[in-house]
Amino acid sequence: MSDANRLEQRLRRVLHHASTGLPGGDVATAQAVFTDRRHQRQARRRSVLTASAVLVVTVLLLGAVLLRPHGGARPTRLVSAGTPHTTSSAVPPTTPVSGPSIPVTSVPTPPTTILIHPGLLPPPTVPVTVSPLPTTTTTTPGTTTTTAPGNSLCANAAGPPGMCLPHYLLAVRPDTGPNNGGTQVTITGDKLGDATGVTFGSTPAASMHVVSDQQIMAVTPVHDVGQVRVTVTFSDGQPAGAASGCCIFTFTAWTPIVNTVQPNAGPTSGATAVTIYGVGFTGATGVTFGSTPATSFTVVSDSEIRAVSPAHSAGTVDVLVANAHGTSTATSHDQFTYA
Amino acid sequence: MGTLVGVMEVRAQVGTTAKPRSKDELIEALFRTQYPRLRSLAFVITGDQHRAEEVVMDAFLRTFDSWRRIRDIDAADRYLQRCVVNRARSLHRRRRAEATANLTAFQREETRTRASVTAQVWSTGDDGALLAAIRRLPARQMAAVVLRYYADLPEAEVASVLGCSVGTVKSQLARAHKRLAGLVEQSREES
Repeated sequence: MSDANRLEQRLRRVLHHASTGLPGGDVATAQAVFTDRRHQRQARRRSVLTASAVLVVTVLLLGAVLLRPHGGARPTRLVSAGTPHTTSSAVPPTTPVSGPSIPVTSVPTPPTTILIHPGLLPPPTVPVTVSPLPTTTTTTPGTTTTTAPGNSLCANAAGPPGMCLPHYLLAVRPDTGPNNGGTQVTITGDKLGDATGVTFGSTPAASMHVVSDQQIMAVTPVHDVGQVRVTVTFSDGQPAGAASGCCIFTFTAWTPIVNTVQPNAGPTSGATAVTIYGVGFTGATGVTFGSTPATSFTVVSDSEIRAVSPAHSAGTVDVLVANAHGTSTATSHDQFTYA
Repeated sequence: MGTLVGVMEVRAQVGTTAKPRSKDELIEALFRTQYPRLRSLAFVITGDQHRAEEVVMDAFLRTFDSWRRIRDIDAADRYLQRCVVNRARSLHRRRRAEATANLTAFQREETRTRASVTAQVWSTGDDGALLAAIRRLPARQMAAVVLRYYADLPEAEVASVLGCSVGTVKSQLARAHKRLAGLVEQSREES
């Protein structure tokens, strides 16, 4: 092992060791604190927004009143010479107003022209049409589906993918494992509570177990070597969104490993019933004693094979198990002695 | 990015019939799933439980505030990690500065002449000294080391968290190695 590798390993160990000093934390409490602080922040921001909105509106209104085109808030009233006549500005004009100069036709006293600034007129009533929220209507022959508009995140095409989906997946750890299955995988995400199945590519997981709403444990099935997408199905039939880069599992080629051979000695005539223990025996295609194939063998489980030794000249040989991907590596543990 | 395309396809199929997920819901979900991991990440850097928790809380609030700039859950996760690493580091540095400020001039002098004490601890295989050395690395080197060797992120992901290129991550890691290995070497010679 190179120095760099040794240092890397030591760094990993030291850092992981450092993290063990951390006492267990309570996520629920922390979350409550977080929610609380978040709400406080939102409330504060809302009040700031409201205050600034009120300020802006006030400034605009003041500006509008003070900077009128006629340069003042006071109404300009021109009364032609004659008897002193006062017109209360509070009296609303009854005639239609088209401009600043209004000839008032029906005045009891001699001709008087009153100029009333339009700013003092009551605001015109504008018919307000409230447009309903846009709804998408998809018409297919026979059925009509009307879907409610989603929230702003949903409606925005450039919005985060998966945000509108009811379930989503964050990560699959570990993301590689042998193709003979049996790797325990943790799938994290959210709203996973009603998951009904996990599939690796098109093969269902060997087993699965919903740990919590945020976590599922699954055991990989036997699968061909290669990358597959991990999918989760839910009882509500809705698909799950996934974080980008998430949910790809790689099945790697797996060659068997022989740990022990029992008994590890027998006569040169062969015919000894031998039990081989190890891993990755599922799908084993051959068992050899030295270079001679076993007389017969049966795969009992992924970790056990029963074989019958062939005749062989005296000496020590390696008992090797082969599968489609290769043959187990000879070690001192897989030896069988012919005597 | 293949997954991204896949997600888009799923979205297209589902349309908007699915229950909309609000920003609140998402940040809460992210909190539930990522809090424990980020807490221990911050702890490794600060070495203090309360500071670590405060750092993570702060990171989540910041992420919530800048939600509009964050494009997806993944980006939010990266942003969180970056926040945690940067903030945890600056807290650690501040604490160190405070500790040094409290020392008398005499003590400072003594600390300096006893720099090789750290090196001695190395030869005895004390991991505490190595941890201290990691925490004293320059900001980016430390961030790269912690994300690579503690959070176990591939180099490409470390790069996207730190917002730099893979090449920069590699060079930062190499420099950190050199610095730490130098310490090991020095202690060997001394012992």
